[in-house]
Amino acid sequence: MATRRDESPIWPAEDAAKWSSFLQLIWKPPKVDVGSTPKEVVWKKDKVELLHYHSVSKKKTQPPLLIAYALINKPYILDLEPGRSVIESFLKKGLDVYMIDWGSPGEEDRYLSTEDYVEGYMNEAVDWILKSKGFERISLMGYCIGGTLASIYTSIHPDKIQNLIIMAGPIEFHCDGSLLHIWTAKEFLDGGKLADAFGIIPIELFTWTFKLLDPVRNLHLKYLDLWENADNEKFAETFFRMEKWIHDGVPMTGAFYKELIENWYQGNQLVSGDLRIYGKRVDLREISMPVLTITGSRDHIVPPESTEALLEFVSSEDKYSIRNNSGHIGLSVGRRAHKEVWPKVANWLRKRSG
Amino acid sequence: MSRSEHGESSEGNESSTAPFDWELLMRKNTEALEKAGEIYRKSLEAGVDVTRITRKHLDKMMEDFEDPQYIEDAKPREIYRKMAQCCSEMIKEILGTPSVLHLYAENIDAFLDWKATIQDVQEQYLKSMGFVTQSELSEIHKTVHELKKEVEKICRSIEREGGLSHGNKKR
Repeated sequence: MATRRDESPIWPAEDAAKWSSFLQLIWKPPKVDVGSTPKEVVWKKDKVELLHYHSVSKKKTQPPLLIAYALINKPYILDLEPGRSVIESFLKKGLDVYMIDWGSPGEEDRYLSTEDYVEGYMNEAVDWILKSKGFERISLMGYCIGGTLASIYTSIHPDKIQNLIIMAGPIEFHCDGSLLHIWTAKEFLDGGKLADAFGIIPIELFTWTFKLLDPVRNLHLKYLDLWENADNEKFAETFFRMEKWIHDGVPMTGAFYKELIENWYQGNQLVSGDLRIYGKRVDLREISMPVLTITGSRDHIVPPESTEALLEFVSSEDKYSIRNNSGHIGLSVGRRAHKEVWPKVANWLRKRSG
Repeated sequence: MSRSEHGESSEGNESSTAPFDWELLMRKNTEALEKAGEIYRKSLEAGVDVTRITRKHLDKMMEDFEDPQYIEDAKPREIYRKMAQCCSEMIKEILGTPSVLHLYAENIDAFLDWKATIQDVQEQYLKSMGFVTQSELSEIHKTVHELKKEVEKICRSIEREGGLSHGNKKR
């Protein structure tokens, strides 16, 4: 008796064409462009660059928006491809967009720490925009660790920020829901020892850490998705753009990594109020301007609760939260996020801009 | 041969005049065995946990597959994805299990110790040849970094006080 399995094998014969396309893609991946929105470097210090995106709208919403990206991977994830670009979305809504590209640190940068990034580079970039544009304040948006840095910066310089947006940025580090919080616990990870041994923390450590957060998806199922869509040129292009970004990481300075693990993940100092920059206590209650948090409900790197906790600590009266059904990266490249989140964010900003 | 006999027989030979320290050898041997035993115990503990978690997730998966109607109706790819999903949850739970993480942490710790030892040996070798070592370069980087910060701090305070006070000070 013929069973259903006999009639419909797991890999039917008609899938042979898919195998052919899939193997061709793996063997010779398509050449893909990323970060194609026109921009120019307007300020540079050491390896840090301030990018200014060319406006596409005649009517500009002011003040300018500065985006602080994370210190892991490259910022073009916010401008992956037309139609999946946060930058493009903002420009279309008439926002004047700047972005900090932290660059790739070398051995000589191993001692760069939080205070260098916040009070050195970020502060100088903000000052440059204020001075060149003649504004007293700007809007600031931080993504991932860039969100944490933006919160720290705004706590120290609330007078320079008109609106604050934190996108999947960890604030409360002692919350359940992420393997990352377990792996970075004191009993399992000695951040200082690792930083001393490497000086500059290699890219591979981050790449594999993030892959292992969801190993079956990241090491197997995503290739199955590619196989199933091997004939779909658009799908394959987006897939390889993502692959390019995932494997185009930047290393992290040992000093910053030590602080990230010991002061942020293990010490939860931002929330406890023990974090100090140049000896000055970082107090989140100093944040009194409008605040928006953007989170993904399926984010396994930064759980939404970790970001949304910011709203409990700030003294702002105008605070709003957007939680989308997406993951950490899906927030910036997902179709759903581009349909549901970014138009809302642009409107939120426009309403609070003079 | 007794311990005293061993000492007497090697008299006159400078490199072996000191009596053989059996106690030290035994202590080191015991320490090494204890350490190996501890790692073995931890590995077993982690192994037991991994087996328990694997069993739990496979049982859960099999519950779905026990229904012949489900197997009959589901597409093969759907079944495959379900199995992958089960594996995913299983691996995530394993990667969050303390016994596994303790073992992993010890491995990382041993690797970092080894890396530091190798670097130390390399640096001693390079030093003997008159080369600059990584540690010396790092010290230079640290000094340059601190100096840069100090200069920036001074520049900021000068900027705050204004160019006039800067000029006055110069004069």
